[in-house]
Amino acid sequence: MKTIRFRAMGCQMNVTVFSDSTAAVKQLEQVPAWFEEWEQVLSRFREDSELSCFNRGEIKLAESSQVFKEVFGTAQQVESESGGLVSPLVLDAMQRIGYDKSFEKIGEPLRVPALAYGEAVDNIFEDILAAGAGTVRYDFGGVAKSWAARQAVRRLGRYAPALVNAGGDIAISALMPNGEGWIINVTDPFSPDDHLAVLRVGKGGVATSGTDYRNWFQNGQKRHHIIDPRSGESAETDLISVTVVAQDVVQAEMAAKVVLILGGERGLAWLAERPQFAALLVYEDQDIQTTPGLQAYLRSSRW
Amino acid sequence: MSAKNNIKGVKYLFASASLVTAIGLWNHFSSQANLQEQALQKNEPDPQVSYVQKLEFPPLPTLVPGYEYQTGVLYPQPEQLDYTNDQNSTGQLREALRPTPEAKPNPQVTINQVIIGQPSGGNTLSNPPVNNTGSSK
Repeated sequence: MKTIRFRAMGCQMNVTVFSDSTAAVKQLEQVPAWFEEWEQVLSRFREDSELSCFNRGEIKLAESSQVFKEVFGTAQQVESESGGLVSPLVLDAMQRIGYDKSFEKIGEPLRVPALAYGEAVDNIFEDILAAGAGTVRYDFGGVAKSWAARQAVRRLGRYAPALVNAGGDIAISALMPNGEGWIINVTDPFSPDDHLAVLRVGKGGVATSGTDYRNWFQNGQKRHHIIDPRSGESAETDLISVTVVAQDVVQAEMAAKVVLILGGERGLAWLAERPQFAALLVYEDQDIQTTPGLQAYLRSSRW
Repeated sequence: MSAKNNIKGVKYLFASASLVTAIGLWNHFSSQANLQEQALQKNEPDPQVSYVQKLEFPPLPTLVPGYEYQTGVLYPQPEQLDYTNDQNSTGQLREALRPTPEAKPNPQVTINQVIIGQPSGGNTLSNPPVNNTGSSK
């Protein structure tokens, strides 16, 4: 078994493959280069990334790389499946179409629906896309990170059971060689050095969305990075972190974010309609709730 | 005397007949040969005409310069074929619509790269890897 640790996409990466073969180790050593390549395509923090060029209108979607197209399509799919709650447009576009009165830059005024829980808003995505590159700015955010984790584990999984932990978004290719699930500790958002629960997860994905780390104060008001597309502001929620286990890490990341944005009550209702997701919800008041499906993965807990 | 004369006459007749027959056969066969010869002559091409000229094959490309041994003068080079369709083309490659982005030779990545080798076999699974999930840091 070999493990590699490095930083990429603004977070800590841990990658493990259960093999000592030369081929597997060679692939493992390539993982940082893979993430560098993807970051050069997908990062909005790099002026010369493909995403930045796309946002400036310098390239069109048809001219973009295969990686860009694939992540763009994944983001579109996530946006649709989440009812618009996980959107690549939140940072800039929602302010523009929701709060900017001048619509002449994007042609005809776009339809701005009153977003409500369950209302599909993927038409907004299509309308903005039709307006052309450079008219709005995209940020793939968690979709890019989870997509990258999934890509890496697929490549490594050809050689042996592998796990890619991209800053808490975890993609797993298969059970460990002894037939057991990989050990996943769920971090306590109120005590980062401790964990709330221990999960055992086989092939699939685990993701956590939380407001405990990336938060700040602006004019005396607490802000965090999980934007609610309905308001264009930091999501007002009674949850501090949500962990989801799913068949796929991209799906897990989407579900965790949706539940966090919706809050405890509506989030559990949303999860009840989707048994493919097993979730652990931690409230601001330190209360904890889980979905029935989580029992299959839970090995120990502190509650 | 008359019997001798008769025998002579018969001999004369036989000789004559043989001669006539021989001449006749000779004429017959010689005429057949003439006919055949005439038939062959009709099908044979005119030896004066060159097939090359008739079918007008283009000359094969010259791989090496021809050398006229008598005079020592090289044959002229064959005309180079022009594949350019555009009459205004300068022969240069068509400019790509978008320049190919250059690969970054040295990725600017801060890597705290550690490869941990763990012993294979039972020890690995008795001490399995542990991963954490939480807010991304």
